[in-house]
Amino acid sequence: MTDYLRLAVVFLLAVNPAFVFLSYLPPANGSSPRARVTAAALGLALATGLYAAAVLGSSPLLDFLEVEPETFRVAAGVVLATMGARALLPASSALGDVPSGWRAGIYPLAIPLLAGPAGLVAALSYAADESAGLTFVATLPALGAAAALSAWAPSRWRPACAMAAPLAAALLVAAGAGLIVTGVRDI
Amino acid sequence: MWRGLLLTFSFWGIGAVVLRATLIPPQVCPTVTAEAALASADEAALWIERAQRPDGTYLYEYQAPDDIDLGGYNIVRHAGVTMSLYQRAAETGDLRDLPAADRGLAWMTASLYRRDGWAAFQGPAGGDLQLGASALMLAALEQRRIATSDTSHDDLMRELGRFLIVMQQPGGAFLASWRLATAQPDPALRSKYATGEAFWALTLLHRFFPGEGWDRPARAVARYLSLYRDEAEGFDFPPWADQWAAYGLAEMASWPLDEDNVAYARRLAERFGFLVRVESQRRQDWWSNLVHGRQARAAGLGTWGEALDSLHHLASVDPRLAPLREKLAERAACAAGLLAGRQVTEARAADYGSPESVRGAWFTGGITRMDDQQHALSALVRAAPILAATKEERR
Repeated sequence: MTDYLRLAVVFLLAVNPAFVFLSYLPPANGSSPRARVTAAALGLALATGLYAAAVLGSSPLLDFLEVEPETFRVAAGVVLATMGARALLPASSALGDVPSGWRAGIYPLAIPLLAGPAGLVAALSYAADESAGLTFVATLPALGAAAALSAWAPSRWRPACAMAAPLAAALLVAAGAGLIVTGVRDI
Repeated sequence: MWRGLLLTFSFWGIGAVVLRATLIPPQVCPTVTAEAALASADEAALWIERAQRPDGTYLYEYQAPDDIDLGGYNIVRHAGVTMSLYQRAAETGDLRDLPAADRGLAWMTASLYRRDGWAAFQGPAGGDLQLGASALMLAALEQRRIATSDTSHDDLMRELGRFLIVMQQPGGAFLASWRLATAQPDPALRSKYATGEAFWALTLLHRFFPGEGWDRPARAVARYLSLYRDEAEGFDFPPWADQWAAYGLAEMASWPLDEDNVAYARRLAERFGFLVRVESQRRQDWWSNLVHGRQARAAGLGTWGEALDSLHHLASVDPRLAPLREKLAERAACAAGLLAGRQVTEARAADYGSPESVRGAWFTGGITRMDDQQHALSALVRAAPILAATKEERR
């Protein structure tokens, strides 16, 4: 598996498009198709900007915090595993009242669904360990898939997503555990 | 929308604070130059010399706040401390410590046990023969030979080497004690330290007497350490952090190592790097003690530094480990910086009733033991070339 593919898979698990769709579906249900697309485009743009900021700011942030990338990897693994476990719970239970229309693209779609703790911390960690550019590009398929589902997926896809979301969440727990192990085992 | 965002950011903020307080506190590695590391090692050597008694033994354990000699003694540690003095001379060419080291050596040669062409350091109290004591005595003689090129102890070195061979098992492992009552090694006793000590001593014997076959038992133990030791001796979190094994592997760098040895060296590098990373996050406060454990004593941190120094040497010679070299240099420098920063300076020593008993030493809970100085000295003196080379490369 190439580095790019490996990172892209991790970000697919961290963003978890199926979970995003399930969490976003209730507010989106009340919106017109055009409003859904607008909100998804806005959410994608904002989330992409946040990921770009994360990968570009990774090294300066770790320097500021006085933390080695290997050590940060352990913390990132803990966050990934925790968020994976969280995503095993029913979707949208923690989102509360959400706005309708384009505002839903900011909250909850961009933050915290597309740009959540797992994805952002993974971006910080991988950008510090590997190439910032490669890391950023690897986030795009996951963000694109999640935004596309949010914009266009019909409600009948809900059962399929309900099966895929916990699977991805469980794999995220495993990926987090793997990250912890590599962080501990590195020099 | 704003309420949701505010709540989200609040949760993220709390999470970030929790992570910062637990998993990712700052890693502080005080900067130390090669010159400062050598000066720190000098102070440690001077402490050992001041702590030496006329018979060649050293002050074993000392409690600074009450100025109390806590007594006790350990002949393995005596050999180790003496070795570190010779090692400083070997690494720096500065022979100032030689008289003190020779007094320590004389105390050992006065209580040798000889049999069937081999010799072991028994200690004046008699009793069963400890592998570690003889292995470190041999290592001390080897460092002395590097420092002085004096061949007068070559025969004794061979005799000690033959004792190590007596203690070696067919699979390369070592038994830890030779029982006088049965005139045989005790089959039930192994030591997590002595195997690596004997390994290193054997590899150095091959350096001085290359045609005599000392490399065969050394390779056998290298294979045992690389493949079987952790499981056979029941270490729960392998690999056992064995700095003596790292010394031995570094000495074998140009033999060269086989692939299993290289994989083992890589695992050791990962373990020691992790230990130093964690240590650099520890503070002297109740929260750090609770979450990250207490700061390691110098005898512990020193061994990690020694291992990283050795593995850095290995990575500098063996291209298969070259990718680790830069990280190993960083961690070795960190260990050296932590050690230098924690050493009692002349100014701090002035606050104590007996400043000369405190200056140049490392204390944990107000107590120092002679091997705190031994391992810190060895780590610092061997980190100096790495620090100098790093500085040169940055230019």
